[in-house]
Amino acid sequence: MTRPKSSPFLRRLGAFLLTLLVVHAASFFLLHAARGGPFDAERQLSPEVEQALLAQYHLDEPVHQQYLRALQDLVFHFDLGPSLRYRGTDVSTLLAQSAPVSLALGASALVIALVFGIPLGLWAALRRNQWPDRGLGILTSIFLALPNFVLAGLAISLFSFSLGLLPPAGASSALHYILPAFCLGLPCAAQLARLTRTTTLETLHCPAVQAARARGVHGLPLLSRHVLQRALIPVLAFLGPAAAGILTGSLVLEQVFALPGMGAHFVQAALNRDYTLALGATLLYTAVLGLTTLLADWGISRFDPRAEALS
Amino acid sequence: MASLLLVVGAGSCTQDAAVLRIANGADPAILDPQLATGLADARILSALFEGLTRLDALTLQPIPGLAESWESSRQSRRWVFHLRKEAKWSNGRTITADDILQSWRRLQNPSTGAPYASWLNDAAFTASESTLQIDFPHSAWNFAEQCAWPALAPIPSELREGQVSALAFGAIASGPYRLAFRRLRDRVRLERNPHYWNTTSTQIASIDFFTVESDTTALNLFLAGEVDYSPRVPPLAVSALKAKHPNSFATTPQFATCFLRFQTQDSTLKDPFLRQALSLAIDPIALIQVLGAGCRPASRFVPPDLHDYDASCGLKTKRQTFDPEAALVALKQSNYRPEEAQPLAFLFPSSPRNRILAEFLQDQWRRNLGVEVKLANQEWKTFLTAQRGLEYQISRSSWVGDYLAPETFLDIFQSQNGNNRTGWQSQAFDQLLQLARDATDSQMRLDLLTQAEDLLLQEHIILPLYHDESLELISPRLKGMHQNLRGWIDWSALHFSEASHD
Amino acid sequence: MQRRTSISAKISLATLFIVALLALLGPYLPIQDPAAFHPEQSLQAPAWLQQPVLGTDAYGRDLLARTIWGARVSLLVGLLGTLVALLVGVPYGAISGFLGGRTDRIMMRLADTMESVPMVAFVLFLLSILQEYRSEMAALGIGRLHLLFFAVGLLFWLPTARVARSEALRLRDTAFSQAATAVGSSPIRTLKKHILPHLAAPVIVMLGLTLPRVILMEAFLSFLGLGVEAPNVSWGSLASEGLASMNPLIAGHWLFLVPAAALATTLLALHTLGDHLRDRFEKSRRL
Repeated sequence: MTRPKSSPFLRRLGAFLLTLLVVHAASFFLLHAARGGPFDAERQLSPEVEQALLAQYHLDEPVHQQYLRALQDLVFHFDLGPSLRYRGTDVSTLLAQSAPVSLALGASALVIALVFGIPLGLWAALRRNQWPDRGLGILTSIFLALPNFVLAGLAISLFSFSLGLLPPAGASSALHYILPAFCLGLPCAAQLARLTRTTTLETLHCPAVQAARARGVHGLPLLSRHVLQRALIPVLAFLGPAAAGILTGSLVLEQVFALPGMGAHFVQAALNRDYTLALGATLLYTAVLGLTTLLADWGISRFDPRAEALS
Repeated sequence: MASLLLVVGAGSCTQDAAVLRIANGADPAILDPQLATGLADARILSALFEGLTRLDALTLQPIPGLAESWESSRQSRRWVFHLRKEAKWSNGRTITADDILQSWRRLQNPSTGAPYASWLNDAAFTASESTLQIDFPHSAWNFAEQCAWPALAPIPSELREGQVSALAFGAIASGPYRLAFRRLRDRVRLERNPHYWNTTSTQIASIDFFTVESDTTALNLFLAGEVDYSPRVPPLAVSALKAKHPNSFATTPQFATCFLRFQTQDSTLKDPFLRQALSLAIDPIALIQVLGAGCRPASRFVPPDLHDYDASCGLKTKRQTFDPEAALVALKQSNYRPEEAQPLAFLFPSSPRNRILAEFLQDQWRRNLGVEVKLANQEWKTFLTAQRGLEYQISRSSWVGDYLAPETFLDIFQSQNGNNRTGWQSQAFDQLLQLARDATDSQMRLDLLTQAEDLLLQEHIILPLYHDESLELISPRLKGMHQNLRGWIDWSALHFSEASHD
Repeated sequence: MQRRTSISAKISLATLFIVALLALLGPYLPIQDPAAFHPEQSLQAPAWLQQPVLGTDAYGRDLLARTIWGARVSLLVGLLGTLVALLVGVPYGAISGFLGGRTDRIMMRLADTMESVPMVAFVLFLLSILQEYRSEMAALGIGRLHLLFFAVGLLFWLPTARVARSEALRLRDTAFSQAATAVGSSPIRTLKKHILPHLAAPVIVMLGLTLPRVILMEAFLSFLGLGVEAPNVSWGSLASEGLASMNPLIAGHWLFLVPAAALATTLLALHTLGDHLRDRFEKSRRL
């Protein structure tokens, strides 16, 4: 408490950078434990051709030397190296092309989750044990129990095959993003609705809100001034895990809907030994998750009266 | 959210009638004609990079491309090509004989990493202003046809000298189209090349090659009207397609074989009787029933589409047959006792269709021989490493011919060929192929190749399972597609008809 | 509220009981061989009251049989994966909470860090790399399924560890464990005698909450092709096969809907039961 105010934040930032380094090292050595080379193909390359390729990508050096080289390039040049599959294309170029797709998908899903989850959760809490609450309870249970590729299958057969409203795959227009964004966002919305309901119920019983009620504050003013602020803190804390869940989901949904995002790149890279691309994508994922958590923590410290009191 | 979606949508284009949309397959690794191998890549590259020759989409015979004419002499050891004077790159520069020479030197250079480098092994070339002479130390019977393959097409100096980024490869092109833009994992967009020597015949303004890995997704996109052409269809959907969309569906034999490799250095499978028993126990007709459309029964390794070679084989052919009784006899003669021995292992690359194939084979071997086989699937690259390292007993394999001749298939089982991957080394086989290569008479060459293939089959090094058939969906409004053995498309012949719906 | 929960909990329990029974009795039930090909009976729609009850797939394999065999794998991976998560998470959390102080801080900081790392990526790397060492692992008797238990355990031990820690913290401060320490009981003895046994209730709750997530994760991995291998099937692999072949032309929707419904029903029942257990537990805690 005697330290300057920015110190906890700096410490977190330091921890975050350290995490990135550890993730980098761990993925690097894991990926290089794979057997065989990345240039294996049905038509085998002649030995001298393969040797030339390995040399070009420095894959003929000892692993620790490769690691130091990769670390140096990353730290000093922000360079993740060339992709092994997309020859001649840098991983950073690949990520710059595909990350916007995934980010748009993930952000849309998050928005859907917030837009549907929070109001529905509030509504259920205020109508506790009435039909909105029960209906929502059943609905959220169903969405939580459906794996997102099952949801995607149902959505495609309904909206693409039966109704012909939305395209079944591809990324040619904004229309193409509607189905995947909802398939990704709705399970998250269900979780959020439950969380909002529980925290709102707890908040409604807390002394400050009871006191406000006793003073005659009701309805919207009560909700916005006294309940929401408290109830949303756990929701903010949930953003980190939600981002992780959306990330996992996007790995599958980008395949189902043939979207040119990072998830599709990452899965193929991990399965087919594109070390550099898999590594770059993992780092970016770690960064996005870490930043979301940092952001959520910052939000909590802004809104949570207890956190304020501490600092 | 709407704004976010708009951001994403803004980068893409509206669909208009002048765009041909193709569900192409896997994302090309790079649009460098010298580095590509897959059929999906070759499809794009053949629209971008024209070679000295092209193929006639009906007969697959070489026809003039960048070269106006050519001749060969000395048993096809010397080839001379005469370049077209009006041949230009898409930036307006003339394509010279030196361009071709430099491109081929790049192909030969090991540091390029070109898989087709061996096609020009030991070849010597000289160029004058507009003629090009190539000398091989052996007969190169099919060189004019090979010249149509993108790997032998010239590439512009900017690309040779590494002045353009990999994503812009194809922006300077020699073919009917040039690259407009590329979005990885989404599409490759081509636009008409205004400087193509035959540009007046090119009718479609742009082509979108979409990255679509799953054939079911390709089918769904076609049915939703999102693409005009899909070179692949899930085999199981074929009967429904024939019934409901007869005007869109097309199928034709392909110059390719799916087969099993036996690992002949394995302590168990080195036993030829066991390999014979395993080979005779597979019912090819039932196999084709299980797999559905897209395959035709195979009795040899080289697909039965080469009339001269087939005629030569027909005289003294040794056909693989399904004979469970003979299989049991062979099993008795072998040292393998299914009751006591460890189960055999079957390795295949992960894919739903391969899985079905594997489960079928497992079922057949169990039912017809009482031999237990364990299945293992691996991701493509892992699988290839295992196959190369001979870390398997039986594995699923396939081979697609690069030109219409038996050598493109038989060459791979020479002792020193990197594609052999069976551990089988036969001097007799190598010698037959060498003799065929040096043969001066074409019938003699075919006879020698037939003997070589018989040897391969009699020793049960491989078991041919089926030859592929293409399964294609072509929008009825798209005209000018000709089905052929190699999936070759004549891009300038394509056009849209005014009105017609499926 | 109370009434509704208990009814839905009872229904869930009954559902799970039936599913588990079917899975256990799978080999003895009068159903077809799930891997047998019958090309002549391909893609038959469910007949409900006669053969084929749930229809057949494109290769004539009986979907009822495949779904029941899929239940075996899905539930097995679920249970053992959860067990792995508990075996790693509970001791980690209990030790961290019981020892407290600096050790606790370091151990929890480590857990925080791991939480902010995309573990899914590492599980994918691990599974795809270990696949290349399959022959060595087969020699050690480690198969694909064992890897799956381990992999999902790796993903889900963290929440378990947190719950175990907070319980251990609570128990450490209770009268009886302090009394035990006061009379000279060693820390290990205290941990064994007074803390671990009292972790049972929260751990059962944790089990109920983790199990459906593990089953879901197996489905996810099977979808990406890193799950079970042929001829084994799981609900996840069946549903993803059904999804991969789903198109508007050929009727075959049951291939997707049946395993998806089995998966969803089981997960729904597990969720309901898990929530119910947690509510009961929290209620008993408040009293």
